[in-house]
Amino acid sequence: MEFVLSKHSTVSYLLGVAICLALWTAAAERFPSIIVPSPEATVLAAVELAMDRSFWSMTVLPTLSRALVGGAVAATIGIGFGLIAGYSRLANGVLEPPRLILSAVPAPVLVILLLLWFGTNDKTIILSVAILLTPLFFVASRDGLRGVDTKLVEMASVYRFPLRQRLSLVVAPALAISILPATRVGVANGLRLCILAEILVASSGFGEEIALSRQYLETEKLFALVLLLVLLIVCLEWSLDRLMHRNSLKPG
Amino acid sequence: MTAIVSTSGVTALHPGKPCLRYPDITVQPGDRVHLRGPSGSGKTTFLRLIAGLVRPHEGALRLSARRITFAFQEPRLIPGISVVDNLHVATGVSCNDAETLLARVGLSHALRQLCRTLSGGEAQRVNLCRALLGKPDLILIDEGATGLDEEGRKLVIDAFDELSESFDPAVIEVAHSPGEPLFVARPNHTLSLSLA
Repeated sequence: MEFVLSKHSTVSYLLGVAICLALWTAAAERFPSIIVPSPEATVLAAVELAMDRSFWSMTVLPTLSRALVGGAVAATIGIGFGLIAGYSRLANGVLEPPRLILSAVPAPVLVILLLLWFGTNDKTIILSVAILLTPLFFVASRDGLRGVDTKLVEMASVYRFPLRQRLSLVVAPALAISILPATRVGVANGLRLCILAEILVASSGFGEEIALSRQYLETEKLFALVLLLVLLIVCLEWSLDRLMHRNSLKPG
Repeated sequence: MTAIVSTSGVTALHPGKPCLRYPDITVQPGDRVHLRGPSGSGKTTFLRLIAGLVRPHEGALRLSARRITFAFQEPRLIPGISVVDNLHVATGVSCNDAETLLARVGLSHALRQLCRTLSGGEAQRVNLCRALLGKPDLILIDEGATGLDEEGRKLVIDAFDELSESFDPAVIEVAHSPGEPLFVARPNHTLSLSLA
């Protein structure tokens, strides 16, 4: 039964990819290549980019490292304050308005503000990612802490579990249930925000390449960059999925 | 002899219910107490008071037990670790002792199994084993027979009888009303609670 379901899901997945490709091909036939390049031309351009070593060092690496640093800052601050808010209703009341403000500010507006304050440098891009992702981790850890099984907490109290075991066996699994999916969303969103900031700040990386492609009407390269970005996000999400799956089977 | 538990004029608040007032009781080491009463009369709350999970609203509750264990109504096992590890972590006994007891209650096949994969009856047996291990002075049991079939019930009772020969714990047990208690076959005290 499991095999049938898995086969069924693979077939439907491939069907989804085929539909996207068919629509893309139809659009490419209908419009000139400067508007919509064909899938073949895009794949060729993507392969050409991927074969170029400087593409990885000058484009992928700066974007990935900025997104990673911004995401790590967001996770540290968001999870830290989220745990405080999950523990104390008073703290949650105090932290909720800034959380709402940060969630509501449109990303381009924040990037432009940071650009005004910090200028065109890496700090602006990293801060943009960090500030925009912080509410995601804040909510995930706050709700995760609130979702800790109180029955297990009581059991641990009666059987006098040491603090370390209470945290690792009772609290951490509940937190992981909400923080790991948030991390998965954060990876894709972090990269997207980083690229947006790079476009606005005109810094090196995917954002700069995209901005230049648009400027010189290199639509094939633009599509190829998007295709590579999609593949990169798919790979990262797949790796996180594997990690989450392994974690769910691991003791504790 | 120092009483393991003694209560005097204890009341407890229960959300959405009138204040529960409990009869006074003194439990000596080795006593067997059967707590009975209709649903909502506060049987579980009384066990929770003794376990320190609820504070008395009024009155005095004196506790001299060095080690208390509690077989909760639902197993409350840590789902992501094995059966043996659950017992080891909660009671501090060696894995060998845990394995011996688990084998005695018919769970030798599930020693390394993650608790989330146990059936209801198996999980309940682990829950009861956890309450028996570590030589507690006082065992609290809340409807321990829940989910046990006849064979499981017999195995658990035999294990308890054998273990309690080496250390004689006081037991306070809540049983399904009008069901029979699991371990307290001949109670020294029967505490009947009624609806407020």
